[in-house]
Formats: sequence, C-alpha cells, structure tokens
Amino acid sequence: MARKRIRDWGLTILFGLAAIVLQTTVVSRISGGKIEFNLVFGMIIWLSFFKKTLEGALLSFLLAFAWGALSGTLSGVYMTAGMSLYFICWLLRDRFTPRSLSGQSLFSLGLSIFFKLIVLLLLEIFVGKEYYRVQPLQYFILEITINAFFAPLIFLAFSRVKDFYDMLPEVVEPRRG
Amino acid sequence: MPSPLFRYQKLIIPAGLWLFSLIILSVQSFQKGESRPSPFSRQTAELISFPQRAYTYTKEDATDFWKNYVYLIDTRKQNLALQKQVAFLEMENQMLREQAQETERLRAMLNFASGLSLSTMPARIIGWDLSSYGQTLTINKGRSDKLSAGMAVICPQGLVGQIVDEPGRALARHRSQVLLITDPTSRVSVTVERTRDRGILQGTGQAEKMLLIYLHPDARLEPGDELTTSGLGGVFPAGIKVGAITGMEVNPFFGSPQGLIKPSVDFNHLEQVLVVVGQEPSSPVEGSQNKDEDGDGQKKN
Repeated sequence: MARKRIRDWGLTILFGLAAIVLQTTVVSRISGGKIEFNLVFGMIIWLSFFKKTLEGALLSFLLAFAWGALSGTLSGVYMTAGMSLYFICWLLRDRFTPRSLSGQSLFSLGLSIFFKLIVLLLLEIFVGKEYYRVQPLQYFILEITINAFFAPLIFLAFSRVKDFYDMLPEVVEPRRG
Repeated sequence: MPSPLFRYQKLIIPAGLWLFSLIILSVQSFQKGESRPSPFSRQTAELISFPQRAYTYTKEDATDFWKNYVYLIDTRKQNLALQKQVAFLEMENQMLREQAQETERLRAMLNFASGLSLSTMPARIIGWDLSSYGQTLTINKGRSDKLSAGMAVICPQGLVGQIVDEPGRALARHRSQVLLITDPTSRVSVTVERTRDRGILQGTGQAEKMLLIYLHPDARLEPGDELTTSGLGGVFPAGIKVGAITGMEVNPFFGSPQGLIKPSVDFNHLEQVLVVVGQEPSSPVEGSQNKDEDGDGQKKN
C-alpha cells in the first residue's frame, strides 16, 4: 500500500510538473498568449473525482500552488481558483457523475466556465485593473471550449494507468446519488 | 458517537485548503507590491526553469539539425541530379547563412546596447506565463547573475518590461520573470518625442495595444507620434523607444484625452533581451566576455 501511495504521489507530481512545463513553453506560444490551454485544469478535476481522500486534496493543492507560482499574476489567484475547482467537483461528485464521453465533455464545459469566471472574479476583487477587458469574447469562448475538450482526454489518459485511482474501493467507480 | 470534526473530516480538509488559499490571496492583495514570493514558491519556479531551459535548447538544436542536415538530405534525395559536392556546399551555405543571420541579430543588439551607455546583460527567453491574463516572460538569468527586481529589460526594438519579484512572478537563482509593459499592472512614464508631452503608459493585457493616460488636456498628439521613456520614476532609463500612437480617444469617465499605443517590440517573436544592470557607461556585455553569444555562459562549437 505504501509503495502504491508513493507511486501515486510521484506520478501526479510528475504529470503536474510536465503539464506546467508544457504550458509555459510549447503550448503558451501556440496562441501567442491569447488563449490559455490548461492541462492542470483537467488534472485537478480528475483528482477530485478519483482521489477523494486527503491525498487528493493535498495533491490538488500542490498543483494549484505550482500553477499559481508560475501564473504571471498574483499566485493566490490561481491557487484559490484551483482549489475552488477541486472543492466544487468534490461536492458534485456524490450527487452525479457523467459516464459517457459527451456527458463528461458537457460537464467539463460547465466546470471550464466556472473556473474562468472564478479566475476573473478573483482578479477583479484582489488585483483590479479590469481584467475582464483583456481577453476578447471569441478567445474567451474558444479557451473554455478547448479546455473542456482536453479535460476528458486527461481522464482517459489517466484511467489507462493501472490502478491509478482512489484507494478506497467504493470510489473507484463513481457513484450516482 | 464520533465527534462532528471526525465525521466531517473529509469535507474539512478540502474546505480548509480552499480557505487557506483564500487567506494567502488576501494577504498578498493587502500587502500590494510589498509581498515577496515564499522560498517554496521560488524553489518551484527554479525547478520548472530546468526543463524550460532543456526544452528551449533542445528545440533550437533540433531545429538546427533539421535545417542543416535532415532537410538537406531530403532535398538531395528529391534532386537526384545534384552531386554529393553540391549537397555538401548547400549544407555549408545554409549553416553560414544561419550564422550570418545570428551574427547580424547579435550585432544589432550589441550596437544598440553600446549606444545607450548602459550596463546590460544579455539573456535568453526560456518560458512564458501560464495565464492568459498575465503578460510575463521568463529569462535564463536570475539572482546568481546579480539581477534584482526593478531592473529594466530592453531589446533593440525598444522597452520590454522590468524584472519583478512578487508572488506568482518569482525571481529565483537561475531565472527571473519579466513583467511586460503590456501587462495590466504595468505603468511606465513616457514622453512623446515630437511634442514633449508626458503621460503614463498603461498595459491592457493585449500584446498589440496599450493606453497612454494622464495626458495634459491641451496635448495635441497625432497617429504615428513616437513615445520614449521619460526616466521619471527611476525604473526605466530615459530615451528608450516604447511605441507609437495609433489613435486618440476620450476617456469615457474623465473626459480626458488618451492615446492608443502600439508597442515597438514584437513580443510574439522575441527570443533574446538585454537586462539593464546599471546606468553608468561601461562595456555592453559586462562580465560576459567569456560567455557565448546567447549569454547562457556556455560556449558552443
């Protein structure tokens, strides 16, 4: 069990760092900085759904922390937004869980909108500077759509890693409430 | 009967972490510009900078390899009439052209730096920020190169921004984050070259558009007027090109004139920058005589 725990921690941190490195190098320049292709977003949703344990919460916090540390804005904004995303998924998880790919895509679209609005709200409250004017609407819509599309792909990739689920048997298969 | 704390422990942990994040954000926000990144945050940034460097250098090497070798082999195969000697000469020619372009670019940078009478240090861009709202980039020089927050960053086309050391924009040992002049939190005191009017240049978060605010109501500015740094405020040296006016409008709230500015730097194609480490006249690449042309401290063959 201890070996599995270490492996889960190691894999999540490794994937998280890889996602952040990709975002700060290759991915950020594809759109010229206009759109934020977000890989950590999908990882946090996945952690909240399949790792509803102390480890899941701590790993999400670590990812959100690293996310904030390299965000280019006040680090607390992305940290809080990341944890808000974790928390909302955590609350939703016992109530309903989309199983089909289209359901997961729609669900992650909703979460993507939620996340984007939370980031904007936090920036507006804690930084100011009218950040809502920064991104034109078409990029805003494109960004949430792309991130919603990528999130189920991350779930799919992670589900292929053997036993990379929550260690509690009852939450390996998401329940319907 | 288990205590409520035990019963709701699964809820308390994520809720507690969320609250903790919010408290950190509140503290950062209340301290405004005075808060500094935590040591853990600096280490995270430092850790990320190694794969960023690896990616940057590998990408360049792979591009060189493709341009100078693979592509030429492919060309040679498609052109069967070409002899081995011709292919070799083409490859050599291509390499020389690449080197000539690189030399030209660096010479422009060197001439620009020596003409400014500023002590500068060349640096290479190794990454960009994660957020679509932040306008920052990461360079491969940090505290170990004696860089500190507030140092101006320039390039031959003009002003790029300044080095910052804040939560989310940490200055680490081998990397620093540069706040671009296009970031919404950036403010630069500027002078209009033609009329000598002064104003504050404010970023909008968009790479192609900035605002010139706090202009005198009688300011008569025209599209095409160029802006340079005024030197007021002490962060940016005076006389550095910033951008040009593309249009004028009236601020809807205050009724004062404000200018729309296009930056002189093309941030999307920026690869190398110069950090202004001092204002006294000295060698343009002080302390880097033994370093290679891209300033990463390693010679390339």
